[in-house]
Amino acid sequence: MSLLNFRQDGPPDLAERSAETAVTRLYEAHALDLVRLALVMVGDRPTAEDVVQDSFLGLYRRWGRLKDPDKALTYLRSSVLNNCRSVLRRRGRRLPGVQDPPVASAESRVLDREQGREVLDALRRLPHKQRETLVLRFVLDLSEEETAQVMRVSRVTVRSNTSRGRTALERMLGETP
Amino acid sequence: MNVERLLKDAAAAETRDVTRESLPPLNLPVGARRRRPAGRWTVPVAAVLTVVTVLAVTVVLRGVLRGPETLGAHEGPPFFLATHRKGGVGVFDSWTGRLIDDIPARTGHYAALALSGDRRTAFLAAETAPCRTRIDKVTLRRDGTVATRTALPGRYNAQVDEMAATADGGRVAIVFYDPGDCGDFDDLTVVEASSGTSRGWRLPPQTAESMDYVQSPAWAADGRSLFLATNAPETPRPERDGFLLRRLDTGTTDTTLFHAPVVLHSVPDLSSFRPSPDGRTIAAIQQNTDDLGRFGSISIMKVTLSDRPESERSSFPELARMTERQIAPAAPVDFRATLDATGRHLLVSSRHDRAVFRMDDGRFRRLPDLRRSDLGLIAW
Repeated sequence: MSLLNFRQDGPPDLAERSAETAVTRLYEAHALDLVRLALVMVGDRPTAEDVVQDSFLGLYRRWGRLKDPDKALTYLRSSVLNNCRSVLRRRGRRLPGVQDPPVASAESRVLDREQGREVLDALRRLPHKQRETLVLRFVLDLSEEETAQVMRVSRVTVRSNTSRGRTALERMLGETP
Repeated sequence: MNVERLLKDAAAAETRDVTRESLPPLNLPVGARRRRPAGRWTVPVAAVLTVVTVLAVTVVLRGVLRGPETLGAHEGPPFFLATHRKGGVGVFDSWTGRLIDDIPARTGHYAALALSGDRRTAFLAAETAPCRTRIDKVTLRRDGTVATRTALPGRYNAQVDEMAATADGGRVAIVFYDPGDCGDFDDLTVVEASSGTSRGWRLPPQTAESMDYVQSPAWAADGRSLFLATNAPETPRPERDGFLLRRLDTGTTDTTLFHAPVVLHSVPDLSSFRPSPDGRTIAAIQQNTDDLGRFGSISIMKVTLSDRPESERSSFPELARMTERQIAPAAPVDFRATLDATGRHLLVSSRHDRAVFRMDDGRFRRLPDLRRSDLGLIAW
């Protein structure tokens, strides 16, 4: 089972709460998963945390325009992906390594992490649409419909990007279909 | 181990140290929230809805009265190109599936391909290293065998997403993407095949709110105008946003993609655009899947470009349809589909079942001898 557990219940009933309270509760409920999402996308933790903070700040500023508070989580996921993309566009250099392995890491854990970095390096070379689709579908375990909502595209596009992204990753990683 | 599992494990390893306790607190600037006056959008939204309703009724009535046009007999393209797992591109007989010729990658692997309308010129994008792309021009004989292969002058410090060749193979449009570390590059480049000279266009600067993209380039018959799909403006109903089809005049000096006029706002997701010679209609593919993403059918749609492109279109006349029943027993997953230059011939590759299907003027066929399971991108 994945260590990432992004599938959680939707946000609590927030309609009657103030923006500050509502957004703070959303942060408490979902910040962990969103930082992990951002970390997978951008590759370093400080940036990932900044991205998530910016997304929550954006939600806070737009709270009055949010017609359906139940869509707040969808908005946040979408915003995090957008902010990650902006960060990646601004970078004119190779992605840095994520974090050093823990001092007490076992050899197997280091090997796992190195292998994982190879996979994520390949993931980060995909077109952003494919990269985001694969992360939402296979890392966050979102459904095709949920992924379509976050990315504001149709399910057909999600399916197309999934197929193309999977093919490209297989090729880069030397996997057999 | 499959890709899904690899990604899950890699993400888990990468985020192992991110715990709830280690997260910083949320910092909200109290009083910084902006408010929008209530009712500000009521009048414009009502006006737009009125226009959309009138035009939608008009379009539906016209479609009912005219009905779908009948496709005539056609031989169809004799061969198609497909990337394969060794990194090269194969030329395959599109009736038997036989490998006609192989174009191995000299360095790296081919990541995108485009075929001219006359099927005598192919452009292959070779990804030689991260953020390093070379474009090879391949001339093909009438039987599909390779005559020459040359590299276009220049290298591109980005990675290619899609390409489109003009009918005569004189120009190629290249859509680039940003894998995150390529630095500065154009989102779209048009290259003259004879000289290697190029021009670039860009999307507007990205913001936190924007989801801008460009995809599915397709040349008009004049070899100067380029159709391309971009994102539609966000609305409260994202599932209805669809995309905007723009017509870019590549002869102008403008370098901003979003300045290209919109010729269609489509709600359905279409791809593989094939403009008619007069540029008034476009054939395109619409893939229909169920809620689980399983193949239902692939249709060839006829899109008539509107004089009022700001009104969204929800449906189009269907010219032909390939159904799940026809491709059975192939598993309804992992397909690639493309139209030929005329828009009358559909090629569908099932990577899962080593099968390729074609539809010519509405007639379904299954290629008999294709036993490869490693076909990737296809061009017809």
